Amino acid sequence: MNSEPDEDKLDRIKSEIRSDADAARERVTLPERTSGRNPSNDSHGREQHASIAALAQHAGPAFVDHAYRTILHRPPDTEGFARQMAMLGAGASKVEVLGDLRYSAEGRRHAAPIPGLLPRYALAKVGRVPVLGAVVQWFIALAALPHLLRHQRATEASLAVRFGETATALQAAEQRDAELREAIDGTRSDLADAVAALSARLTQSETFTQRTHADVVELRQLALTMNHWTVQVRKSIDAIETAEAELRARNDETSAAIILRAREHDAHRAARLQAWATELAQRIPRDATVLDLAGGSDWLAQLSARGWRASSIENNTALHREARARNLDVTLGSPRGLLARISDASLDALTIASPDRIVDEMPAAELVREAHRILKSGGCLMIGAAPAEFSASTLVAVGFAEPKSSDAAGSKTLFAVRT
Amino acid sequence: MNIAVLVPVLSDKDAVGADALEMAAALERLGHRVRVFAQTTIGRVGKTSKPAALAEFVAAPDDLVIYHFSFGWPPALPLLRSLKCRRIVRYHNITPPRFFEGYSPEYVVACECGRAEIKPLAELDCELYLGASPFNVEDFLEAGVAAERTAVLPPFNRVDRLLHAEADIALLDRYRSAASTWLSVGRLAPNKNHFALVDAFAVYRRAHDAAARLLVVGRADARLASYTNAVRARIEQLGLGDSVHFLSDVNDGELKAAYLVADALVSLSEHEGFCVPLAEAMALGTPIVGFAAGAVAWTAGNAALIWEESDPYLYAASVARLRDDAPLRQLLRERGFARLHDAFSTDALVRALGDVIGRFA
Repeated sequence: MNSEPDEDKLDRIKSEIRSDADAARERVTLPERTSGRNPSNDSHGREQHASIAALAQHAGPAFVDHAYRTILHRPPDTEGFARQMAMLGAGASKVEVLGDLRYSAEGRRHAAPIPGLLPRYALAKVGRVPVLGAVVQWFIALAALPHLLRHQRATEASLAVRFGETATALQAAEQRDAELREAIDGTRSDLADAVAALSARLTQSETFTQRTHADVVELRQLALTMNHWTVQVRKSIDAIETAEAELRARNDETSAAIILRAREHDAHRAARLQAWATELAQRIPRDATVLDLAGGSDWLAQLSARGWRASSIENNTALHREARARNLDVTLGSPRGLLARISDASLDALTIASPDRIVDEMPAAELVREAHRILKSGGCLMIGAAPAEFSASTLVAVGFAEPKSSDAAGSKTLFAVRT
Repeated sequence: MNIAVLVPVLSDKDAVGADALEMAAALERLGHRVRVFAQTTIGRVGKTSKPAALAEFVAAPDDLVIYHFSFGWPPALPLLRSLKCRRIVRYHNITPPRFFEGYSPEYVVACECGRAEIKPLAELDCELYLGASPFNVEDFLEAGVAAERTAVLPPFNRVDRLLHAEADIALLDRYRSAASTWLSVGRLAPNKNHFALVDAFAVYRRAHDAAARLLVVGRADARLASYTNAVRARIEQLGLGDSVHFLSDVNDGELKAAYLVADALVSLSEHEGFCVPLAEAMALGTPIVGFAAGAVAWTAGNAALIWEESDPYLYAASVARLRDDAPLRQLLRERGFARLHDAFSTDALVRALGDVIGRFA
């Protein structure tokens, strides 16, 4: 565990950072700033020694801007810039502008050194004095005459050289112009070819687009037709399903009427149900949970009357309605589907009072296996009026014990215990 | 007690405006009758009154006026002198004019005029001189104010608003990558010393991460165009053109996103009266590297890598260390959250303001 205090740790880290910085200093160097901090902080970005010649080489706004930055160490303000430009426009010399700035209150504070400015500025100012100024300017002009003549001759020579250079440059420019025109003509031709090719491609694309559009229209028509057909099919299916449901209901009504009529005419049914209930009572506890498969509402009522939590699965809608009218706990549906939803080992007894109504949907072997799954250990399976396929040996094979066949009121009934 | 909050120019965008408005709201919550007086208002600042009506509102000797002093405003002196109530000068600091020399004569004059008012304000003998940091208080101590007449109250800020803002997804997507990201927050002004920032960043690119980026969040001022141009020229000279991104006029969501993508907030400013971006970085968990000028060292406390030297290699190495050292980042983040909670959160500031005003109960 690291017990180093945070402050010591931070000091150590800062010391390591210093070492890293020193290492980086060995590897990396930065160029000196050519622009940067303002004159009050250091000397970068500011001219230290200006000369009249250097300042005067600029013209117009650039001259004024440069003069301000050099002498006052700042860009010109709007008013000052306009005033200096007006002076230049009125024929004032650049020396006069430089002197006005240098010897203003602000300029004296900065005291930028410009060698030779003072006498020339003084002469320029004297030149502004009426009469005396004119005399001084004449005197200066006369004194400068030999210099001006020399300057004129030098200018003529320089212009002649410049003229020759210009003529040569012009000739070269004309040649270059011709080359460029040729290149442009070539490019124009290439461009025309490219435009023609593009136009052809465009035409192809338009044809393709039109064809695609026609295909899309056709497909759309097909889709609409399919849609119409699908709607018709759906309506037909609905009609068939409705008719089938009505038929099933009618069949259920008919079957229910036959079953109920048969029960009414079964003189031994009441005694048989009584006997079954008595047999069951010997095998299951008083608060047992009992499920019956399609055994009829009278049988379910008998089971409930015994105090058991009795319920039934009924696959006939009319018989289900009849049982519900008697406030019995009965669920409508397929025995196979509903049995599959019952938990393992959750029932004390399962009765199949009318197996002939079940075996069409669930074969005997499957029914017995499912009964074994949902019955508790020791639970009782009762199969009334047992057909041949519900034999004692079948029950034993699946896992039931003590199969007992009784003959209750003229009907063979099987009882077995789930092991 | 009636309390007048007096601000010459009140804006909903700047730090002084935020401090004045949030302070007024806090005073109201503390049960005082508060009114804000401003000569000029900018943006949505709510209801204000003109300074001409000030004397009437704070007519009783027990009343209080809090004057927010951040630049020269000549009417303040005769106005404060004429009041019968008690007076607090809330000082946000004024940048020394030397920083603007060579860049903007206007700023030089404005700063000179502002600083020239420190002495006469000190001589008014107000009941309290309330600095946003100990560094700010020094100006008035030098002007002759007794130490017991001074106090420090960090500025009310909008860090909470930033915390609750939804970070800008586009900016997050644009800058989220494996490359290092430096962040600088503050207007483009000479005292912020962007030259030192880009020099340090150039060292970092050359020595540590050639793909690194620098986000410079802050408004450019047309009156300081020569400074901005000089900084850009330095960036070009160092070959950093594409790696330095200037983000101007960002909203809260964009600012939050910038803090979230940054590996470090780097503050190399040469003059700061408080430096609100440090508090924002603490709130959003962005590590801080800074130069110990003005109030920076005090504001950052022990929650940042702060150096006394202006050495680009040191700052580059600091960011590199932060990138590589997760426990260090975690340590600084935890300290930042604690510093913010203890000193700069709204609850802490309201408590501190209550203590200050309690002197006048």
